[in-house]
Amino acid sequence: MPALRIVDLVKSFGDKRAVDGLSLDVPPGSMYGLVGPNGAGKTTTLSMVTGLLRPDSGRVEVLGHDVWTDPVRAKALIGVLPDGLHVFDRLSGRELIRYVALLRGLDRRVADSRADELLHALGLAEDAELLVCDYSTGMTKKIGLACALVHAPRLLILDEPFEAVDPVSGDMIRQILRTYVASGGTVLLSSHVMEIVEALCDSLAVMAHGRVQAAGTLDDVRQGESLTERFLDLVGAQHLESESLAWLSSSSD
Amino acid sequence: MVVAVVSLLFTGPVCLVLVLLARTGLLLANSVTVLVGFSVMLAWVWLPLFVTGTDDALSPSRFALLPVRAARLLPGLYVAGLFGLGPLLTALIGASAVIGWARSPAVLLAALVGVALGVVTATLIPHALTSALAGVLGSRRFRDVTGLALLGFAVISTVVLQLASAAITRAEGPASLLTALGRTAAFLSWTPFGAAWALPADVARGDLAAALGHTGVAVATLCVLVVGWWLALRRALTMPLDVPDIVGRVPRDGLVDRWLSGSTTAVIAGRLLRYYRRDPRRSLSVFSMMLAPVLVGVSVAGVTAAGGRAAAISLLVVAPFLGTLLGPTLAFDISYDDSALWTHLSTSVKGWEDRLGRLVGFSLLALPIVALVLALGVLATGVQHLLPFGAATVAVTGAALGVGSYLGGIIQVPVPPAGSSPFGKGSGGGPLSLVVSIVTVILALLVSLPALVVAALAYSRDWARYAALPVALLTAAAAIVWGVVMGGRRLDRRWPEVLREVTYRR
Repeated sequence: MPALRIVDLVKSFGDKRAVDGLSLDVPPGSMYGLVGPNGAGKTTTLSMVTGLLRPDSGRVEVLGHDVWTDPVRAKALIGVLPDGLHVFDRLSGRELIRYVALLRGLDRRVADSRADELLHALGLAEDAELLVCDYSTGMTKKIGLACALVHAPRLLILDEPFEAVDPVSGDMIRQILRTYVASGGTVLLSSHVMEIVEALCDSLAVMAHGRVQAAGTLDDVRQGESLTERFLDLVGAQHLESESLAWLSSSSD
Repeated sequence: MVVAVVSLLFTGPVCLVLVLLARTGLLLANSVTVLVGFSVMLAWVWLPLFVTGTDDALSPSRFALLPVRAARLLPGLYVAGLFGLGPLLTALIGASAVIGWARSPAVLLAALVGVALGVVTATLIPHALTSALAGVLGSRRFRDVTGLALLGFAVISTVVLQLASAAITRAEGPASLLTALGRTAAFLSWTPFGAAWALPADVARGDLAAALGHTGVAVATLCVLVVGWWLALRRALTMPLDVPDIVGRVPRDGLVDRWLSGSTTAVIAGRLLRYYRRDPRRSLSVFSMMLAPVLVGVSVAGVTAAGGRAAAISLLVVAPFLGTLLGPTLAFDISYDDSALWTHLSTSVKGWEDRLGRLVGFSLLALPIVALVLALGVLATGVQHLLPFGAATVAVTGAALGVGSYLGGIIQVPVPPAGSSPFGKGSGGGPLSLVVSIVTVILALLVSLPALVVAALAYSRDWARYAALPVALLTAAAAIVWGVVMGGRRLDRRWPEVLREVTYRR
């Protein structure tokens, strides 16, 4: 049974089909990347997968539980880090993790100790009593990841987890994700930085125009090229004509 | 639009008074002109605090990326700033003053010069202030406290006004009042904000020395403002970065953590308690509620000092009235969460838990205030009112909480985003929020009507005396259960749509 199965997912906004019949299987224990250019429908897809956006049609199953017909069971299995949505940022980092943990139904003592461990593991211990709205973007991503992890989910769904994160924090997040996968968890993350996906993920899907253009293990998708070259082939690269913007050359005046 | 109408309503009479000064004695005319002028200047000091956070299209740091010098930017920014309601009203007041001083050509000329100085100075104040404070005003924390500071200012000025009116009514006859006014004006006319407005009276009296002195003070004020603005602008253009917020830490393991972590409902209530303290949009509503007991207390003290018993109804209705107002606040609460509400979706919070958690959190703060207002009212009027008005308050407050819970689940009103000035444009949330507020209050009154009738009968009928409180409690409980369950069901059916509704669209 796949950790995540997406079947024929469709979502339109007005005339625009943001997600257009997308199907995907994420095998358990994999570090799965979802890549695509801006506007490919990555965030829309992940929102529907996590139960935050109602699809027009299609099915999403997490370890056999349908997200839209059996949401409580399915949502208990996934940890979510969305992109572009706020968190309750008038809480301190510790209060936020506790809040999510308690809403997830954890015991108060378990919530306290896990919040403590996560804050230490992510290097936020010193800022645990600061309000999250005073955090930097990178720190906010890290506290979001902590909230996604606190109930020990089987599947982690992360939308752009490395955006605006400095290299040190980025490395810390990568280590945590590798440990999580090594202990049997499954990660689905989206990114538009090919180097990150190439270095971290074992499998990936390339998305464009609301559909999967290619999916499989890293080597299956790359077919001997670098991931960036292959990606540009798949989504259609645009080449700058040699004559355009000629005035930018400093010798022209 | 509403703001324009209201401020015109205030400015109109002022202008009329100024025009009519032509027919009064010199002392009165001068006193009024100086007092009005001084107040206008003061208003311009406070105005920027109201408008920043909304209109920052002309904020200095916006020009930091363009290759423009401060001195070239200055005139343009000043002229651009003149297109607004404030400058228009100031000009109207100034023009009225000029008309009021058209006693002779020389005085008219002095009035023109004085008023021109006054109006230009007044309109320069916000520029100098905002530029000087640009860094501080831009930071989130400052905007948060601005609203509260302003509210405090409003309370203080109300108290000062009351004291002043008390002093005026105690003055023996109009003659001594005029002397007091004249003395105040004479003092204010030598301050930077009052000097320009005293010029016409100086010329009318033929007091050349005073005229020169006042002109000197007024011109100096103008120069200080221009130079100050220029310097601040020059600095803002080269150092556009926001001043970092002052770091604030919150205590660990607070009361909320200890007492409110038993169930989902309790946890949500605990967060709401924190948010009513830390989210300025929410703290404003609680803060303004807290004004009610203060105002009732002041009135009660006044009535007691005068040695009488208060007119019962006016003090007693405040508690049930305040109770109905809890409805709209509760109905809007989910919108204040903005897109952070996704957390409730992905942790499978049930609709009724969301509704009840918010209700409990808000009630923990609001109910003591309502109870205090009721107690103060009863203390001032007599204990025979406790049962009827206590029952009425219980019924209406419960009904409002129930209706608010229900409507909050049905319809999500757009509210300003977090961190915006609570007094900024559209802080009320526009016409929809007004409609929802009115509907909430009307529904709450309808739901509690039977209980209100029984409560009123408790004055005359024995059976009603026994029935009033049980009926009120029953009404409140039924309304709350109904609102929480029905509003919650509605949320359960359309969580994703609700999330889209409350997400603030930039």
